[in-house]
Amino acid sequence: MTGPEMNKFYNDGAGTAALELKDVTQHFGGLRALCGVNFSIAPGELAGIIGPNGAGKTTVFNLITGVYKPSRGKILFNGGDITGKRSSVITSIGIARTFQNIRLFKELSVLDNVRAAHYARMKVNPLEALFHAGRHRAEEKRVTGQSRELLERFGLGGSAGEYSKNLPYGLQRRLEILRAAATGPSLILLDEPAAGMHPGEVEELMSFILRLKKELSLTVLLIEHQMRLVMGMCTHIVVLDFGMVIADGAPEQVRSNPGVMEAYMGRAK
Amino acid sequence: MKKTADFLRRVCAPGKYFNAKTVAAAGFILALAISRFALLDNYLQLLLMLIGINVILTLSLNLINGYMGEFSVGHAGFMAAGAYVSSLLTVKTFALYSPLWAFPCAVLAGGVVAGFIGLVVAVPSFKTRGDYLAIVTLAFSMIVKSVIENIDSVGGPRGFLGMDKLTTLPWVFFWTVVTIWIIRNFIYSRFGRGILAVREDEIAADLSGVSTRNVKMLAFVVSSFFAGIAGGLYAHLIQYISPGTFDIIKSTEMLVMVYLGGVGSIAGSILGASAYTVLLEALRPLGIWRMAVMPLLLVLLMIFRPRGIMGLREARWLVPSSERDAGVSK
Repeated sequence: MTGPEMNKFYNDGAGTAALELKDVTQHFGGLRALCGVNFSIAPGELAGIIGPNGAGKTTVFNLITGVYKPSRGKILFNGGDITGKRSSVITSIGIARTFQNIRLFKELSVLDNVRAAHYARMKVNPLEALFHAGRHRAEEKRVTGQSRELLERFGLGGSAGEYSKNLPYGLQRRLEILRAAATGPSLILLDEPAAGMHPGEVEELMSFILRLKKELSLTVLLIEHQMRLVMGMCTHIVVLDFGMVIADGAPEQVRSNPGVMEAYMGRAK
Repeated sequence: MKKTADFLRRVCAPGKYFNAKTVAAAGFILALAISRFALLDNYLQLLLMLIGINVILTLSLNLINGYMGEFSVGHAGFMAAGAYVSSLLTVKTFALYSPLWAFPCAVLAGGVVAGFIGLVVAVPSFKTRGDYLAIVTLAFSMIVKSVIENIDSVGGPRGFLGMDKLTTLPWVFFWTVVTIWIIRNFIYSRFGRGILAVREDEIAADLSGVSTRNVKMLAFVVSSFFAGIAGGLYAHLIQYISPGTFDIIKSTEMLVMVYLGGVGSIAGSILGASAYTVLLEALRPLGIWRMAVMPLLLVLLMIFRPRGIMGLREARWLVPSSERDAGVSK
């Protein structure tokens, strides 16, 4: 953990949090997926959510990005209330995400996957698009240029013209992260970015995420099962179990937390 | 010999002389000449015009079923709206004084009304995610049919006639080119990538900032507009329309043309509409049995080429030059 990030973390309460969940509760029929979840992420942090299967980690992401509306509670993004807003609106104000099982636009080229993510920020109205007039040409040029540059910069430049379904698994993961980054977010949510990767690939992915975070000055919140990745990268960890936050703090605090040990290993005799 | 081959290759190379603009210009001049000097007999001209109208219909439906990945089964309803509105205009409003611009304006008005009805259909259909469009459009085309059957001033179930034969080959060609151009523009734009993203994964599209509901409604309005245009042209070609003309069979025909030519392809739509129209005429000697040949063809097609002949691929000369290396399909 580096100095400034450490300070940010311990200065909790000073300044606005990038993301804040207040008493967020979610029921699916009779099933209580989340129960009074509270945590906040400071700007510029690299935070992780961990927890056993079924703890409600992905539900947290779905609530933040408006896929579900919480049964109770509030979600604040940079101090503004985003509870219950539509997904596309939430994305356009600066929260992007990836998915546990990759969801690329498979039959589109790698470049078009990234260009599609520029949708919300393009200043072209329907008439200009239908007649290829007005701002259409300039905007297309800008978006194509920026998308190519992003792919180039993060190692996918050579595959720009390929169908995204034809990329190898590791590159599909990266493309999905880049597509999220192309929406121009300040906060990016990564749902198990290292799922199904072997240790060497995980290493590469870690440096990829760190570089992306630094160069695009992002706040990152990720869900991950690979402890090495979480403990090695994150400066702030939230542990969920049965829909409740059982620990929230720096990696070393979390690691020695008896509740976390119990959730993962079971109760000591 | 080699020289001639080289020359041909050079001339036919996409982008140089053989591009969308020259094809359109040459085609229009040819269409004018054919209709002015009667270079082809009336039957062949009629066939060409039917092909053009079917190309418009196929592209219109392909935008929804191919590019956007939703499923509309009631496009005949929009065609009916365009046909009746434009016919009413030319017969009742422009009956005494009928200037040259009256016909294109009537066709355009038919398209605009169809587009507006498309918006009314789209609002409830796209309120939530899922496959409601098929049901809503099916119901819609039935409603259109019964509404027309119950309006006596347009002839009710007996149909409506009195239109002059205003649809000519140059007009059909003009509207076909306009349709191809606008739909191509739409696909290779911000909104086109939006509907393609919706087709591929609607949730991921939403979470990539695509305002999925708006973009779906926009595509649907554009699509129903062109179905209405085709209706107007059809009405002034056949000079008789009735509710029965625009029943579920008509919608099915459009589906066949889309899936024959290829989903998500302009070239495929042109090919599918042409092949279907010509085949249906060529099989006329079979009498009623020709209606069995087409479905059979479709079944075979679905087995061997489930996405149609050109499925998700595009002819290079139909792709805007700036998109040729980057475009949505290769």
